[in-house]
Amino acid sequence: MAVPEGSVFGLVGPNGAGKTTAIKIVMNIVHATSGRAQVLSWDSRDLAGSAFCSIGYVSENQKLPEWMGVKDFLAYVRNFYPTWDRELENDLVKRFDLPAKRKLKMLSRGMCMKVALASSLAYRPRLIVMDEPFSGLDPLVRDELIECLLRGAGEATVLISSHDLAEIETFATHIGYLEAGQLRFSEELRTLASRFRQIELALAAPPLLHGALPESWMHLDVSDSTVRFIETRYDPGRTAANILQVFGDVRNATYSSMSLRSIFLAIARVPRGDNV
Amino acid sequence: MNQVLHIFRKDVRKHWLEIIVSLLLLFGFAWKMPMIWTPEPRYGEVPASRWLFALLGLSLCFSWWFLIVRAIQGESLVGDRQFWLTRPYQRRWLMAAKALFIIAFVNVPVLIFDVALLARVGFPPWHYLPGLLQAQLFLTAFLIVPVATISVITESSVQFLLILFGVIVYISGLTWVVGQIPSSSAGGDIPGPLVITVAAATCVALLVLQYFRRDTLVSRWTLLGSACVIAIVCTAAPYGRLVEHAYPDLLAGSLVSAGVRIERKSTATRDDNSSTGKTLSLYIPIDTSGLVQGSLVKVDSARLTIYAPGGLAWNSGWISTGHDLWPGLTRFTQAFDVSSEFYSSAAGSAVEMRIGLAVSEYREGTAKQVTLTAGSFNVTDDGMCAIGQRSYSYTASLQCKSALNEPAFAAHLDPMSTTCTLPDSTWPSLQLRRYDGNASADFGGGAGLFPVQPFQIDFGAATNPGGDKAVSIVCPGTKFSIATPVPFSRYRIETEIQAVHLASYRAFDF
Repeated sequence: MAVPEGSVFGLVGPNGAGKTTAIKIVMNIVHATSGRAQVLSWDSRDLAGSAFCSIGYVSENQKLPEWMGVKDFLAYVRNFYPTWDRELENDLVKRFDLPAKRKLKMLSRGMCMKVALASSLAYRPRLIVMDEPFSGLDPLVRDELIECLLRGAGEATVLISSHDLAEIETFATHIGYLEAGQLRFSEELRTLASRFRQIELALAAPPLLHGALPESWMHLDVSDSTVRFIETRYDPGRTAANILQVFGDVRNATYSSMSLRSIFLAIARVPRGDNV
Repeated sequence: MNQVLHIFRKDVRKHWLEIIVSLLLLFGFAWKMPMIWTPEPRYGEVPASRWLFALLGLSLCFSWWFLIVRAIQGESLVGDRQFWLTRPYQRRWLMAAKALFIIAFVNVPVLIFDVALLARVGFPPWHYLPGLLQAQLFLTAFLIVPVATISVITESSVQFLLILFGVIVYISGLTWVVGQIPSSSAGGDIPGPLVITVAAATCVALLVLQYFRRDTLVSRWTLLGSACVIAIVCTAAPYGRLVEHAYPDLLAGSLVSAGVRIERKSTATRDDNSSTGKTLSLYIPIDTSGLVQGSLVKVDSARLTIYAPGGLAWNSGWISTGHDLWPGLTRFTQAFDVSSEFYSSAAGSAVEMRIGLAVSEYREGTAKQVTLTAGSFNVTDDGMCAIGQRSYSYTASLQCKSALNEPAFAAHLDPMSTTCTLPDSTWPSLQLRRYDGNASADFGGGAGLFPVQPFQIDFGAATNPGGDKAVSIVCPGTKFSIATPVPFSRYRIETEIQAVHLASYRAFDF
């Protein structure tokens, strides 16, 4: 998996796919049993100390020092970062509407995420890593967080894990799909959306299928003289030629774009090991 | 360095209440400390204030432990959800910050406490700087580092208490198992340095491993491995041979002085009922001779072997004893618990008894003459005394205090030279009274918690010929001499006696 610099990379996959583990390995929170990861210019196993001045990390289950007030917490972490921007901090506190004096243990989950995000943006990191940051938040807070993330991140690279596909689709530039610890694919979101099509064909008569179908087709469903399938490498000319070769004359063909959610549901039904 | 102070300040802000509580407990402990500098008023009676003082000391230790655990677990090294893991913490500065916190709120207060108490008694603290630093070392090694080690491999106070409970169960179990091994009570201190080395190395390894690699699984396995190594060392040590190696056979022509002989007894004068069912006690009177003037002999351990007809034999293994021998003392009695089964088999016939004594011999250094005064007076470099009431008695003895450790000493007083007024000139015995101080106590003033050590120089009292009245023999103007015993030699003496009956040794002769 490669996260291009400057991208907003959404790491998606079902629960238990290994998204959090992958991120923890990247952040050197847990140690990989095999393999390696490189983060910016560091091997992830060497990631410690001042390397974290360039990296921001926000996680849904991170334990913050609950005894501290919001202002105290920001003041405490500020001292660790030479690049901390007080103006940006104040701006984030205002934008997130953070109660400066309230203790972290008195804050709602959404507020805690905002504090964590503010404390990870104020030093303008080059890389922001977020592990399921929107999980369990109400839509309003979620939108606020996303907006602030996109505004505050600036030129930073963002790696964000989520199982909420609809949400990721709205702002990610790249996407990686993880399933049972395996990366099924990783590519630019625009490319992904353009290469998947839901195709419905109306034929003159029920088709007689013999011989191999194109590898890029999946979930072929034949019902009388109607055929439905998903083209995973859509190209107008090539796809049309393939249809003609397999089915001959087609009365009507409908090509529909697919939402990210539909794409993933389709992929999730493909046996593991098959290319998509 | 900036990070060290930054983390330290945060910890102080977080734990200010616990810090105040521990400082107040320490203040209370210091305030009540003089209570233990005077002997207990009566035998078997412990005043409520002493219980309170003990409770205060225990609470103080718990408050330190709580403080250490909370400070270290504030940036827990166990788990993967802590916010600080992905912040620019330098691990070495984090470790230094926690060390600074412990030094500031445990070590330094104890050092001030030690200095204040020494000064209060009249010992100039700067004279005892090495001893004070040694006390800090003991405090760190025995009260701080083990707690810090458990803290770095646990995530919460509950986990800490569970592991601590496990450690206590392990130590108790191991102590019990080792206690069942013959000679372990006498030779137990011999593998001690190896056990302490393994334990210390484990603690240091775990602290370094957790702070620099944060590998809790490896750390916990290391702890378990060390526990196994210590258990193997303690249970497999050849205690009997270790004692024999540490106390070589007394060779003919040696310069050592002690000679011993088992006293022959023919009948039991008073039967002793001390029997646990599996064992019963034999009391072996031993005559001593040949101790030259200026020598002190401590019987560190003893072993009894009994050979009965028919090839029956029984061996007690080396057991710890606490007898002090000096010229003029001619007899002492050593008790052994013999198995009831063997006793039943051997009681009807004449047996052979062989006793081995492992002893340490000391020679007195240059003696110093001391004249008692009404107030306090110096007796040794580190000790000052005053005439006070003896423990559990109405007569007087010398109540002394020393800095950090109880000094080893040998004191002599000729009762005929007492300046006390005796009702009858025949009262004092003509024997020279003497008292041998502990020659080995050296524990950094109880790890800094007891910087002033109280002790007595008790010459006894003059008793009337009937033995029912006693008067003091230490009064202002009375002179005595005091010297420091110097280790001279360690050796084993063996003696045997033939054709005796075990029943003759069932009674304790005073």
